[in-house]
Amino acid sequence: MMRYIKLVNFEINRFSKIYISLLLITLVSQLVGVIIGTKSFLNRALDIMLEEKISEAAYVTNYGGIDFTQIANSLWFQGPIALSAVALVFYIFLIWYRDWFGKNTFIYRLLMLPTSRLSIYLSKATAIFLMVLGLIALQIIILPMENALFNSYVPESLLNTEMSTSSIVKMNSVLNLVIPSTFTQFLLSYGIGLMAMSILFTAIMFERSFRIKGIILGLVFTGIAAALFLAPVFIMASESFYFYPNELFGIMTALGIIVTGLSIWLGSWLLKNRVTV
Amino acid sequence: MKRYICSIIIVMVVILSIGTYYVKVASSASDLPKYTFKTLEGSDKELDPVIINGTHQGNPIYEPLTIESNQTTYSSEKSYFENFSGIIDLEMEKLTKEYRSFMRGKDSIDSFYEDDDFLAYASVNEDFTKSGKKEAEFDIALLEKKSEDETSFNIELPDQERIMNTSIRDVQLIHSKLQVLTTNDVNSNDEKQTKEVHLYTIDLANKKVLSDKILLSESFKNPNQVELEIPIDVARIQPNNMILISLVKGIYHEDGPYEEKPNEGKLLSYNYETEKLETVKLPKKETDMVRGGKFDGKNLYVVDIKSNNYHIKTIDLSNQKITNDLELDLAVHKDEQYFATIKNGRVYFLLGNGTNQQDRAYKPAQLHIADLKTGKTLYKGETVIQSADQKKTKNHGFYIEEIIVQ
Amino acid sequence: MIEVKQISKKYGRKTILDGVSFTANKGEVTCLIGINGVGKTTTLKAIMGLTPYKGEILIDDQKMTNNSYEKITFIPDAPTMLPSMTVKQAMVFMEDFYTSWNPQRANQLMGFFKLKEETPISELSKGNTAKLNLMLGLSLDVDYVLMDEPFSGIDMFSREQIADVFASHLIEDRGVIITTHEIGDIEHLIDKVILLDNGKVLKEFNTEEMREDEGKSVVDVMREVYQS
Repeated sequence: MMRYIKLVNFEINRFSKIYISLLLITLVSQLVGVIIGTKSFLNRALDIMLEEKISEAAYVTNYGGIDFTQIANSLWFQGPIALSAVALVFYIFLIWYRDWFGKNTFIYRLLMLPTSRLSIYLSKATAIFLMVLGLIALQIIILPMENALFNSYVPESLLNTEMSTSSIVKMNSVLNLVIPSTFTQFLLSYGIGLMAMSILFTAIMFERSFRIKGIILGLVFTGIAAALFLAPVFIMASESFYFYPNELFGIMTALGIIVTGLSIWLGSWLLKNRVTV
Repeated sequence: MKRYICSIIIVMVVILSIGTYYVKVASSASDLPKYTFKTLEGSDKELDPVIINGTHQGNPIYEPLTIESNQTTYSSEKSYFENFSGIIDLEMEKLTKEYRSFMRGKDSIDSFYEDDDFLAYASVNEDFTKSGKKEAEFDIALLEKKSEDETSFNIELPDQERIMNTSIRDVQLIHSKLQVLTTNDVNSNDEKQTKEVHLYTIDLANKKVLSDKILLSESFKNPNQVELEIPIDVARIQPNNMILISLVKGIYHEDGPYEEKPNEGKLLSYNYETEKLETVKLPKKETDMVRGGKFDGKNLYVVDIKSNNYHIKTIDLSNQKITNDLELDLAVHKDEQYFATIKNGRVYFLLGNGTNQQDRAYKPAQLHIADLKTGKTLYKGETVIQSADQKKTKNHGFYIEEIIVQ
Repeated sequence: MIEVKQISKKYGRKTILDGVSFTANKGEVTCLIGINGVGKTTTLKAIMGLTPYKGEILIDDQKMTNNSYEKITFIPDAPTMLPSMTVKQAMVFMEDFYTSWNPQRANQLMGFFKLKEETPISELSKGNTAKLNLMLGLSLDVDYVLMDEPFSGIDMFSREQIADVFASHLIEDRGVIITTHEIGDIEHLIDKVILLDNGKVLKEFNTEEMREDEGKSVVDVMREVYQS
């Protein structure tokens, strides 16, 4: 257990430079987005008000005011979220392959640690998952700050409405995806994320065990895992059987747990018995 | 310890921020205002069976809510499961609970028929073959309640080349034959549109369609419009010998609004037993109120807005006479929406949808409950908005969508 | 004792090991000899559980488990630590994960090899990398040490230094398996020789007995075996 925690910590430290960069990029880009977005709106509004000699109230009726949803839809705001997502998906692969390739073969050391191969597998999964949650946590922390900054910039007369953090999240499809609106939904979304990651990890283990043949095996495994998880949906779509919503939910939760367990077991088995360094 | 600082920070931040966020989200529903009825007259016990579905519009987020037995519940307060199962129709919920296996994969309450012995179901299933040809068939199912015998089969929809789409409006079981009443849109090659009411008679024992009778066929061209409506049945799935069909005509004015032409519409009744289709001759004043009316198989209840106060009129369809005229102690507001329903021998009448039409601000809706026979007012009340933070209610809107009585 | 029993290994259609069997005793230096590509490294990886194989390998009558890595260590010919680490960080890593890490021995070896703690691993020369590998492996209180080509591609002075370690108390009591394709100046260190070719054991013999009984050196035997 202690070695597993040490390994998680080790994996996090290894990625810390890129990770801190991602955090900083998100923070800076979104703050810049808030400032630029607000400024450009205010300048435009001011120009039009001067040109047409109208009051702020008249401007709002004619052209509409501003609220945080407009800021949250900008590239400045969503770009770093997309960048972080892509980086972490990419790192799912890199977290394994960087140990095999590159100048040093760290995989020798890793596999020769006096700890179960399962904890090596799990430590990498945990590290990535924690880093994903860390990014979400940062977004949750900076969102109210950005919102406060925005509200302090915009005069009340031009503001459509002062929004709460949770309503900003609800109104934005990207934010709503990464920060689900209820805790149950959060558990489900990130549970599915964990399952997907375990499937990918195991596909990578197939490749590392059987090389070219392993790529095919990995793809087949991914297909089977996805088919198993989505089986009730396919059954419904083929109209051969109808599940009540709560049954569908229950079956898919169970299947999700089974698929995740199965791929973790298979992945660590491959890492223990079949992987070649 | 220094080596662990990065991980410790991440774990702490993750737990604290995500934890706090969802705790706040979970408790935020309690910050939302509560809508309740303030009793002005009568006993608030009368409110127990009343369910009102509506939306709280707290700019810019809309929160669906239900006022049940005078308690506001936001859908965000309900558990994930409660929102997930998503059955809102009380009759469907009751059927699903009782006949779980039979009800599997079946929806739309109009497709069902229930008596003491049988539960019957009919729907039309439209599919496209690979060549792009449409194939429509009836899905028929019958449950014999005592023996729990289930029969289900498909039959081709007769004359389906002619028909664009079919929607089931009523299902009855008359002398062991299933009667399926549908409104159909007919395929056409020119501008002419045709809407029809069909009555399919299905022989359950031999699994075939015995007849396809066109009860009504109405053709029109743009900008004229025809709508075929079935006045809301207060007992949609129970045995009924009679069904009402309301034909509403209207016109799209060029660059203008849609206008209904109430005088050109008509109300028809069809009797499954006698197989007679008759035009219901209503007193002139009532014809335009038929759409908002309720029908219980024998009587038609309509709301009359032509007097000073709202009137609920009971029309006996066997002799087409007004048998009861109930005057509510409530003045007519022409520009206000109203909701009316008949249940438990009472009239439930809700005036206003909670929103002021001019400035979209909250405006109390008034609920009257009266005894249908005696006309005695049993309850009078109006909605009140209660919020922890009164300032916050300023920009809040409320919108009532429907009233249901259990 | 490490017992290798009838192990076989294929990479695709190519047979690397074909029924290899031998034993290596504690307190002895066993040398796997053969030209490149005859499966020397694969044999070591198989012993360490770093590659799947057919057959059986027992270490002190036990199969390999996670905890065996406290008792047996492998020193490959490439660095096994991240290039971004310093020598010190590599040592901390080892101490962190192995209970058999012996800090006194590590310090001794650091001094012996003249390695500096603050040097980043990426800046080490080939010879110093080999020394670092050796230092990390030998600082574990293990029973068996497996070394892959410890002398190849290293300058003369480093070779001497490494050879000195073999002669010292640092190796005493341990079972050592090394691979090499050139026996040269380490012949005197070796107790036992396994000659490998084409995935098979051609000959297994004790160097001292060979010298005393038949008067042949390892090189003599190699010549005999490989040229026949």
